[in-house]
Amino acid sequence: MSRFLSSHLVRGLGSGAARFHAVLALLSLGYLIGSLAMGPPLEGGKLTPSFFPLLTGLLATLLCGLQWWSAVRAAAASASDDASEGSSDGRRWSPELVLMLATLVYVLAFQPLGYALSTLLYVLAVMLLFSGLDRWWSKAAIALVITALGYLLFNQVFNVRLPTLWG
Amino acid sequence: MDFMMQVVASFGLLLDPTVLFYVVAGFLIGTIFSAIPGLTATLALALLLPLTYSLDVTTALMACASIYMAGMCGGSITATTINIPGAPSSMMTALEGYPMQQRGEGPLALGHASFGSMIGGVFGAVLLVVLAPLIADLSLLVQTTGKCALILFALIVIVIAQRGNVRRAAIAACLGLMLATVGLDAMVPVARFSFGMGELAAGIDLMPVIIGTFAISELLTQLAENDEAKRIREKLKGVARIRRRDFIPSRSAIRRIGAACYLKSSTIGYLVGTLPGAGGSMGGFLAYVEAVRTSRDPDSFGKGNPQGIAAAESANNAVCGGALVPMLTFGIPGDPITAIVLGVLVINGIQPGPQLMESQAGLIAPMLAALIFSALILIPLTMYLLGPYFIRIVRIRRDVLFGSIAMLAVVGSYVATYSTFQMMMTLVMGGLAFYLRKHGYPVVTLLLGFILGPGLEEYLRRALTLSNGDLTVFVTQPDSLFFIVLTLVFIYFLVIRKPMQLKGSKSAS
Repeated sequence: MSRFLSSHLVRGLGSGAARFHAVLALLSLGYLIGSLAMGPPLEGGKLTPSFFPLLTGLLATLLCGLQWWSAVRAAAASASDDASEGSSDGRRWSPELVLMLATLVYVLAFQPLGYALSTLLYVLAVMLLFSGLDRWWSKAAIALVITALGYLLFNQVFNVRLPTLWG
Repeated sequence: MDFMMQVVASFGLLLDPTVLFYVVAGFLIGTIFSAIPGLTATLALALLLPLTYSLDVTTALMACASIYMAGMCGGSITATTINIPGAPSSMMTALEGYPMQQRGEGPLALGHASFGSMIGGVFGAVLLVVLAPLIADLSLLVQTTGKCALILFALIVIVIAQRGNVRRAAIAACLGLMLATVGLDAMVPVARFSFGMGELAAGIDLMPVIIGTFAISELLTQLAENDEAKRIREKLKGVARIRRRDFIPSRSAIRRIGAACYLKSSTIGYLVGTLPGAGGSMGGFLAYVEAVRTSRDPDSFGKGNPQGIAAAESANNAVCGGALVPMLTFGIPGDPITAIVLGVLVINGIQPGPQLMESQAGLIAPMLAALIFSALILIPLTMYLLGPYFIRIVRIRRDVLFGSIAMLAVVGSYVATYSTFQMMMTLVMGGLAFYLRKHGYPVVTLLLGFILGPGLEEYLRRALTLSNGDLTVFVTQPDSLFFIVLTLVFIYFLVIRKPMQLKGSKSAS
């Protein structure tokens, strides 16, 4: 029985979908624990700030747990799923992940580098991710135009104070 | 009557060149975004949201209305020319438009789509102007328990409307509710889930949630589907040149479709629009099915029958008017676009709800005037003037398009507070929404859970405090009982009866 269960779990956790559901279930559980730590839901006959989060956390944990368990069972039932998931897991740096990292770097560099330089590099990075490295100089020129238009729109038309490199 | 006069008077605002510019620009942006497969008018609105900080709120709402209207009809362009709907609302248009395109009548199909959109859009907007004040008066009768039951009704209907995906939709809604509890409690000054961070103590702002959910996650999704998009772009290159005179449908063709078809489809669209979570695709689908059912020649459908296009497009544009009813009268958005319009109101310190139509009629009336103006003037005018260039427009380079969208989304989220924290929140929300979408979770329920969460919590706690924790108050009060019964009716029809029918039809086949 335990071997059957553990093989289910190992296969289930191996699939991308089940792992994602597991993360959601853990997040919900963490939220539920946080709600419990806030105190009792009722105090002196009145509902406290922990009441609603407790209710939501309980529901979310239950639903996410069910979803994860369904994914574990589905993954265990079809071995072909495992094969296809395995092949996609082999790609470590998916373009989406690179774009997320590029956006993270952009956000962190936005104030120290200023709008112009950070935006130029970010827009160029996005363009290269969408269309590849070929003719990068023309893409750099287009990125410069987009950055300038963005500056005009935010700073000149909508009076937004954008950060500058030596501001 | 007063409100109707205010709407009529608001047409005068369109004489102001600045206002007219934003309305027309909004319409064009909405059309282009909905015409490009993968992009939606929701994304266009999400990108516009930060700009509403600097824009006059009346102008911003008018631009939102024109984007909304454009978003419902722009999808018919690629639905007809390459059989790929630019927006989900144009799915049924593709069934009839593409066969017409194949026999060389593509422009005519687009003309029928435009005409149907115009009729449906005007019908829905006028019905909204007439009925919204009456519904707003009725909504004043709804008390605390009723408001709680109403929000619960909206959330449950949005979740069960995601057929075949209800559990995932419920999880996404719970995630939205969880995010909404971050920050200071509304009734007791206690910070929740802020982890000692000052920025989180104030709660998560609506803007990063909207921009992250609809712009950043879309960017990531489009990057993941880059190869498929390149294939669509190649397909568009093969589309023959469209001539302006071919757009105009003949009077006899319109007569063959019949006023009854336009009217019935528009009514279906409007009613569907009032339901939370239904949207333009459901409206178009139901109207199309009804057109086939009542047609004298049902076999001609699916082979390029303009009646199918007229039914689907009238209905999906009438949805615009219907969807604004619950948002304007109860403060409950039924779809992402009305949620963003609600966001524009909240950003400008206006609390949507039953009092809105009375206290802010001066803001709402111009928005409805813009809705009618967009349907009546901008839909046919845009199709006639820009129709021949549409294919060229939607073939815009993807790297340029997404480079611009990325810049607008991330810098736009900086605008509200001049802090990079909001930019970071946008990225976090975008990443979460991307992975949710990737695993089949509808992010619209996350957004609506986030928006409706604070109201649900407040009214639930108030109702239970006033009744000393007595849960039966929800069935003893007539307003809440009404919404509970309504919820049960929807659960019966969408969850219980539907699978039974499907089971029956499967065993019969």
